[in-house]
Amino acid sequence: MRRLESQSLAGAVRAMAVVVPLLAAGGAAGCAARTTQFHDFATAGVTYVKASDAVLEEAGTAAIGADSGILISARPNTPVGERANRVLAANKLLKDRVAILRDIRRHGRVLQRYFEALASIADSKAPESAAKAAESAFGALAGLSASIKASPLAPVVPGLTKLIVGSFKVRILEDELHKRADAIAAELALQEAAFAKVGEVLQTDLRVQLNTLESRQVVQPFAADAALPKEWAQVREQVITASAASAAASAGARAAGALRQAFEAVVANRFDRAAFTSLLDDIGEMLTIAEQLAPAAREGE
Amino acid sequence: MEMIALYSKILSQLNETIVAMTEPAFDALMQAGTVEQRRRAARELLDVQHARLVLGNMVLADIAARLKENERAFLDGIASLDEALERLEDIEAILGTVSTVLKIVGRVVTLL
Repeated sequence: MRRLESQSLAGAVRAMAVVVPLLAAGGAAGCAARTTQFHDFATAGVTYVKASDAVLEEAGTAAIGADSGILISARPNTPVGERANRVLAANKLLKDRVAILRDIRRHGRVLQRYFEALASIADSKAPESAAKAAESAFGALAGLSASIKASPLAPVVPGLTKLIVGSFKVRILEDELHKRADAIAAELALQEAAFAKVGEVLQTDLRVQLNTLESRQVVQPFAADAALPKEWAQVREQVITASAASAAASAGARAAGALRQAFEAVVANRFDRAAFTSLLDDIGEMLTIAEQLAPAAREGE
Repeated sequence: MEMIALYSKILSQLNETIVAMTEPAFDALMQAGTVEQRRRAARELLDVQHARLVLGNMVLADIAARLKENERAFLDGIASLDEALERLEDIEAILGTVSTVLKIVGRVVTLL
């Protein structure tokens, strides 16, 4: 009877030795896929915040540049007695604008820290460390016991440990998602609305800068009797080519919208690599445009 | 309609207006006008820009305030994730898990 029990147990262990690695492999693949979704979302979040920071910085520069362009255009036809008040009032409003944009950028840094914290969990090497520790511990025990050394479970131990610790990691990320889902959804909707407005104002400021520059340095000198300045053709070319960049300032809202959709996909467990690549493209476009705007804004000054 | 939504709508209209008022063709027309016409156009241009800055600041300040309202949740999230990471990477906890797995394996092996 005892022998029969022993035989059936031995069979069970052999079966475990076959089934557990399969389950561990399946479980590990599921855990890894879910962890990758969190990792990708967090990575995209960090990239988005960095790109949005560049756009916000340009929004401040463009606001000042546009206002200067307007003041310069209006100055010859503004009574001398009014000029100082005009520029002082505009300076105050622009200082306020820069402070507000700085507040939004500071908030972005909090959001960036949050995404980085999420990525730290997703990227944690704890499951691998645990697997290595388990392997060494099992190896040490095997040195003491021949039966442990011969056990068919030996190869299972590190994988099983990795799976257990990996599942802790996924649980932390799932719990966080559950706790913060409303706040994240609200934040990303706000970001989308914010960048729609920031983009609209930025686009206007840039257009105004280019308009005033074109009038002052291209049209008026050409219409006048005096000889054209040496750099006239070069300035004209810059104004005309910079116009293309100003038409694309709405990329910020598109990137925020794409990040919001990515979050919905993470919640629904359907955020795949293709969606991640597409999201990074949207964010990359936002960054490229911010970089294109920087020289255009400087040309307007 | 909420006031800030109204301001935002007016701001959009002012954005379109200022672009139209600074168009090189509009400027050329202004340059060809009388002194009085040029002064009036300059005053209107400055007034529209002033209104744009005032309304733009109100709309952006409202956005900044709403983002800030949401901030507490993220600060809590950062603290909670940092704490979880510490626990996850705590070597004692890892060894505890390893020990649990080994105990199970040890029991199974003993039964063989």
